[in-house]
Amino acid sequence: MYKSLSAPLVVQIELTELCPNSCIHCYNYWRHEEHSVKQFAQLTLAQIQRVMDELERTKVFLVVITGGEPMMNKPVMYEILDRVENSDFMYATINSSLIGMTAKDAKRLKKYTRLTGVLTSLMGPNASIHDEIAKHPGAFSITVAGMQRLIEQNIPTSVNMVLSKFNQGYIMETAARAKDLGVKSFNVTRATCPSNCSDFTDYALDVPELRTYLQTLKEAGRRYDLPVGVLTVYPLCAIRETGEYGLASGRTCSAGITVAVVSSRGEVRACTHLEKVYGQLLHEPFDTIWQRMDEWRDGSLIPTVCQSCKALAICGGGCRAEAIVATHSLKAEDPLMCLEDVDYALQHFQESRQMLTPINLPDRVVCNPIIRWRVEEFGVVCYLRKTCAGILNADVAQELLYSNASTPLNVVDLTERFSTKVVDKLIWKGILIPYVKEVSKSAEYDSTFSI
Amino acid sequence: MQNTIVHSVFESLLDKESLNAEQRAVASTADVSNQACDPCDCNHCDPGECRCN
Repeated sequence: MYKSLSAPLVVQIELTELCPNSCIHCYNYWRHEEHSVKQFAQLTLAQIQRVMDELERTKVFLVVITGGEPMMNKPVMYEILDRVENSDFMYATINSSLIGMTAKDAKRLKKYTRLTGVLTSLMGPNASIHDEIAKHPGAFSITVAGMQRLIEQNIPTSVNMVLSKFNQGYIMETAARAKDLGVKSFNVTRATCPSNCSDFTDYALDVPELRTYLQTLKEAGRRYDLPVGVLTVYPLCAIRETGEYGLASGRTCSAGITVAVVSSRGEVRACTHLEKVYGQLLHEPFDTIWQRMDEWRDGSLIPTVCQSCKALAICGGGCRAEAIVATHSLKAEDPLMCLEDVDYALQHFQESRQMLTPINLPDRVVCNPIIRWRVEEFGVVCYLRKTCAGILNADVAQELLYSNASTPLNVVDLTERFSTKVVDKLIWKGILIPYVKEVSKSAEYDSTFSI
Repeated sequence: MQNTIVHSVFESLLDKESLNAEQRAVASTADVSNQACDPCDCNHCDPGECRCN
């Protein structure tokens, strides 16, 4: 179903299995095992060198530093950030509860130009909700203090509110709190049944609750003038009002397609939620392990009922982690699927997609100097910082990406060859930028400009 | 004509040959519609920042 990349575009690295929180929804699969603290695995400085060597060699664009709680393995976290800073290719983000985020850490993080932001979890607007879910008295105030330290340093800080039946009534209040703190974006994501939980029905959202939360989230974004989103996939038919809730529509599962996970033992997995290991990065080449993950790309994990669904290309069949905890099969249906709503959801999705507003094209353009790219068999993957800018045909990429920044391309020539629409799109995506005499290679170009 | 050129400039991770005719039609519509936000599978864009195919 998907073409195979030579390596993932994004890699999540779990620095440690340790975490001071014990969230009721935690997806870390190792939590079902009884461990003493000494038995929890942590990547060492020597091991992370090997991991980063492989990520550099295979040209991974983005490293997501996660855990457990990554702040509980700071030496390795800073080693990754040092490697990323010196790579001239990779960027990094951090997912953290911010427990352990001191003012000194925030100042140090500010110096990393290739750290694009930090994502933290806020499970409610106050300590009574957050701490109860985290099973950690005092966790809320520590997380909020960590956010304040980051925001004081102007480090982009986003919130993910993991949503269950327990806290679904607090979206608006939590958004207000996040806004007051000065976050960059506010995301709300359904809690997935953890693998150590045999019955999650008291917590898992059902379909009406999912739709209500999306409506509330959209309203929160409007009311507080806050970018809002979701950080997981929902079946298109579960969303139903895809026109209304574009923030959740059109995302497909990225596990094993563009994303891989490296565990704190050096094992490679497709998804942070899942235990299945495909290889040991401390001993094997990353690309060799990645090729072993073909089942995520060839369609064999798509639920049977979705394989003939007309919406498959833009839906992807929902979440495989939800499927396996519900039925013990990766190929099972996402519990939120509503097949009777496919036609409605698809029609509204297609009608609602925002179309590009044509821009006044400049006379001359050059390739954006901050674009990084990786050559694949079927094209060239382009990245702007942590954002994929698309995949270009190899011949077109050769012409555009290798063009000399001091030798601009004539837009009339480009539009005659590719159409105005395509040139519009290349500029909107930030692959091409208007030519000015001195294009600073260090300058970050905002492609949403208007002339 | 121009739609063909769109295909020739932007490639997709999706292997359209593996889809049935109805699915391919839906995927192709998305390809050529010049959408402002047509997410790929990276899921790492912040809200409103997607620049994917």
